[in-house]
Amino acid sequence: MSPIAPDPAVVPVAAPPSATMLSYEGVYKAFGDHLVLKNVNLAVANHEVICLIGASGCGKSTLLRCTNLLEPIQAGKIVLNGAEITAPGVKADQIRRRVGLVFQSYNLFPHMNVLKNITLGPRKVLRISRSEAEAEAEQLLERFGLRDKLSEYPDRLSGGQQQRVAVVRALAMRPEVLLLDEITSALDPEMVGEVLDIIVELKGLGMTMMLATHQMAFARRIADRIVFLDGGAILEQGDPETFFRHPREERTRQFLDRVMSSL
Amino acid sequence: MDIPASPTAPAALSADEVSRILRKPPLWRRPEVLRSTAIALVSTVLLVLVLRWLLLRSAGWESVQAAFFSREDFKAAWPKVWDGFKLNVRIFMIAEPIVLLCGLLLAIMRGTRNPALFPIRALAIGFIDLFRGAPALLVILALGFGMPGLRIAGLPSSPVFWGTVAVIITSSAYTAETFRAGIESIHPSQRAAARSLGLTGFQAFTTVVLPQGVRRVIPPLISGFVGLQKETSLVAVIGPLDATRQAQIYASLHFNYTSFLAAALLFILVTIPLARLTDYLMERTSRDRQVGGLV
Repeated sequence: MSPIAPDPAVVPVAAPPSATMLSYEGVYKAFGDHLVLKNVNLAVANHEVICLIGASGCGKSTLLRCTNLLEPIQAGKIVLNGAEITAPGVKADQIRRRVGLVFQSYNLFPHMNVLKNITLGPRKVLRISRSEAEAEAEQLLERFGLRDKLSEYPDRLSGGQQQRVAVVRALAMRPEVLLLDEITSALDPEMVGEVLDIIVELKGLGMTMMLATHQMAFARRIADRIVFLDGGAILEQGDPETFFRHPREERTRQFLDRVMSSL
Repeated sequence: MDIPASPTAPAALSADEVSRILRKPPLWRRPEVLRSTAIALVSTVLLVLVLRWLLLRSAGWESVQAAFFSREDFKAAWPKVWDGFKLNVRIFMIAEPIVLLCGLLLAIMRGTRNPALFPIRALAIGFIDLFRGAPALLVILALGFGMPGLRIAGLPSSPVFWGTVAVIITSSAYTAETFRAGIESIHPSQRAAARSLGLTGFQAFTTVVLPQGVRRVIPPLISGFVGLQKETSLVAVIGPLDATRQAQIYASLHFNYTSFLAAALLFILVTIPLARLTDYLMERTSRDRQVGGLV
């Protein structure tokens, strides 16, 4: 793992790096009669960056959406910092604020400017005063090179800028873990870099992250661990070097061949 | 490797020529604008002349002119009609804010998905179905004559009051559907984004979904204002002396219908600005959505 310089302004004061931040135990998810996640078991360590890869429809996005409790699971459990978040009676709203989620299509609120987009959560959910929330938002924007976009509306920003604002919006809630759902898939190629740079910076700050991504080169560079999903189940996982050089499973090899040859 | 220029390729434009392409002269200096304005003017004048000629050569024109377009009768009828029109405006001013509020409430009630709130939803659906289906005139008659007939102590019996209530009820049902269309046009991903931050369903609705939904239906809402303003004249059937009723009285007393023209003119004068405002807002919305190019 690369050296970490934890920054309390971005990443909440953390547990020891070895501790488990997030774990999935026998998670099943079905949409109607279609099984999307099959017995997913995974433990994510504190400060760990995991890249989920796999073909479209393999369950990457669904796994992330289930972690944010946007989708209920049908069996198994998800545990965040020692507490089961999928237990009955758990208030979903109180979990979601601790689990940041960034979407492929940014989903910024078009009727609010950048500052309002970012401070909405802190003000409404964390009940932070307006001035305090705005000060924190400005700090984050400054840090990620978006200070001058503060009062712009989303439709005046490029795709890359919008997605960076979306990341900042998630960060403003001080999430314990950040989930990134194919955040560069909707971007023009020349804007992918600026968004990925933020992820690299966040890794340096010690943010625990799970990324669903099709950017193999980036996954290889940033991931502590690659998790390969196939048909809703984890087929293979390992550190990037081993995974990309010596995939064990035939299905993994086929997938990598297909993805790499298209580059 | 240098690619040789095609021998037929014309020389590039000079900076001066390029700036001439880029510069936009004011509207009245553009030849294409002048041309289309001239054509529109000529065709309008022609049409008016043809219509005028047709009217003037019709056998009954003289008597129609005397009955509908008499200057003296216009002047004589005006004060009463104007007086009546003030009542129309008053009903409108009271009804419109209430209609907006009730319409929004109905739309929200109708949009609830919580099974525990099903009765509220059913109530809203029933209300909207009933009063969107029933002609406004019948609702006005029913309330105007029915409610005072109940003789419940403390209940007002004024026809203006019940007429206004009836207008509010029917318009609210329509307005609710407009609001609902706006709310449902907001993509679910907006709600998901708000919920993912930890906002409650109610917070996500009031801060993210509703403001966007309402903004989208402002033009049809203003169209509804126009409809409501005209609908206030129906209240006359239960007695109040509004502009239409005053015009009718004048007409029956003097055997001259110019008073109707006066009433119509007043309604038109009020609704035209609203119609132009709607046009302007619709144009602006469509322009907003075309960011990135026209096609």
